[in-house]
Amino acid sequence: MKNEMTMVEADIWHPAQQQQLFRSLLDAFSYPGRIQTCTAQAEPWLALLGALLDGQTTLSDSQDMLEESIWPKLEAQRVPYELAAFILLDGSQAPEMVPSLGTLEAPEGGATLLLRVASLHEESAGALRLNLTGPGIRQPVTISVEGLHADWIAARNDWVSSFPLGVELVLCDAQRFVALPRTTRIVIGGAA
Amino acid sequence: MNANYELPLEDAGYSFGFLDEYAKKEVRRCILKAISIPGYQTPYASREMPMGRGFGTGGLQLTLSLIGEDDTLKVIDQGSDDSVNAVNLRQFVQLTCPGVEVTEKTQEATLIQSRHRIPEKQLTEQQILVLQVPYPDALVVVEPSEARRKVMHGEADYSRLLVKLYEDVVRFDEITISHRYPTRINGHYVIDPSPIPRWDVPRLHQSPALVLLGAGREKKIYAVPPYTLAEPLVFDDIAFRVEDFRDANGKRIACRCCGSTVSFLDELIDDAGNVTHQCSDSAYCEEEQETISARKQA
Ligand SMILES: [Zn+2]
Repeated sequence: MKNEMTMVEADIWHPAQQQQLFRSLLDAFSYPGRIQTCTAQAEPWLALLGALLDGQTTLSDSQDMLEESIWPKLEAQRVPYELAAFILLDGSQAPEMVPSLGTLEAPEGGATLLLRVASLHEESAGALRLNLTGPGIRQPVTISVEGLHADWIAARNDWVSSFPLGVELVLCDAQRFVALPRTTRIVIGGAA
Repeated sequence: MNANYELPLEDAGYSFGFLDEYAKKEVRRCILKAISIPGYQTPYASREMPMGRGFGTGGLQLTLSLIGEDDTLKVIDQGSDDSVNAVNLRQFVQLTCPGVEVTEKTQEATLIQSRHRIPEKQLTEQQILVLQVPYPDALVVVEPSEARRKVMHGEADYSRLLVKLYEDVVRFDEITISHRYPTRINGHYVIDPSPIPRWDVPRLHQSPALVLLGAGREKKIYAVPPYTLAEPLVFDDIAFRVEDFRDANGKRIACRCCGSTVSFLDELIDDAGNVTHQCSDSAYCEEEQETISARKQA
């Protein structure tokens, strides 16, 4: 079984696959609210970490979502939540701490959070409806999310309230992902 | 091009795109932050490139970090696909990125690297424009200290830049900046949009395509995301105006080759001292000429 698992994940460590994943991520950040399909043979949160991380950057995984064998492949430095450039969390649990928001002179220090959720939907049928406007969004969009604790949106809206400080969220279900950069205005409930 | 090209699967020396994978990841992480903080000059660790400065290393690093086998690349320099610079950059990418297609037609490209112009043809959501930047900071004319400029940018404090612009207005009755017009992105950061003419500045506004700007020497990347405000700095009493291509009688000058009266024109002076005008965007001009000859044949 273990061996099979490794086979399945192997493609996310390949440069050509990482380039494709990055381009999907680029689309996700350029057009917030557009749900992207992960082309790799792994769940998006893992595939995206593989595409972005190396020894020059930092990761927090306070809920131990990653298998120990994955860490050497990611090469990222393991650091506490509040210091991490990338943060991996289960989105069904409420946020507990404030991540790095960057500074006025170096706002790029704001963290990127990958939150595992149950499912993402284009239509506004799911449990938590998010109405999105801002850069990259031509017409207001509504997406809905299952398995994201509603406190995340309130906390995130607070963290991005003094631009240019803020954080980027990437919500990942089992096959797809969506990016919510700090410039996206998120209103819960949204237009039906 | 070579359909039989196969990636060396377990080869540590794999170097599609010339840059090593660490350099690409650094640039990629930087790009995502640049999109998330529109107009902010995001610093990155720039690698040495096998060409001199002034040849668009910043743009090339962006292109090489973005490009994949499915891409079709267009390279333009001052509107032309055929200049020495554009040809050299295109050949470099072809050499280091096997499988990538190249084109001169704007609408066929998925990735466009350019210096000094934005193509005349409206870009789409399926395209990314990479602009090469020689001087990334619009505040450098009023503040020599980078540390202080960073604070001014963070606070969106552009009062001194506006005063500087206003001196122009008082002296010349209009803003005379021909290139690198300071442009505010998403209501906060003011960027140097690279040496594009004023003509191209409105194309940054609410663009369907992502625009990425790379300065190799200064090691900065910044972005104008799609569907984002891009406003040239102006004063209430003086409107922003693009270049005016009208003759002494007020008639719009046409391109001498294709007859277009809606494109940005280069002024040419022949040996006899006669002034003529021609589209700066050579691919646009050629396509216009083809359309005209097709119409004549029909
Ligand atoms: Zn022409």
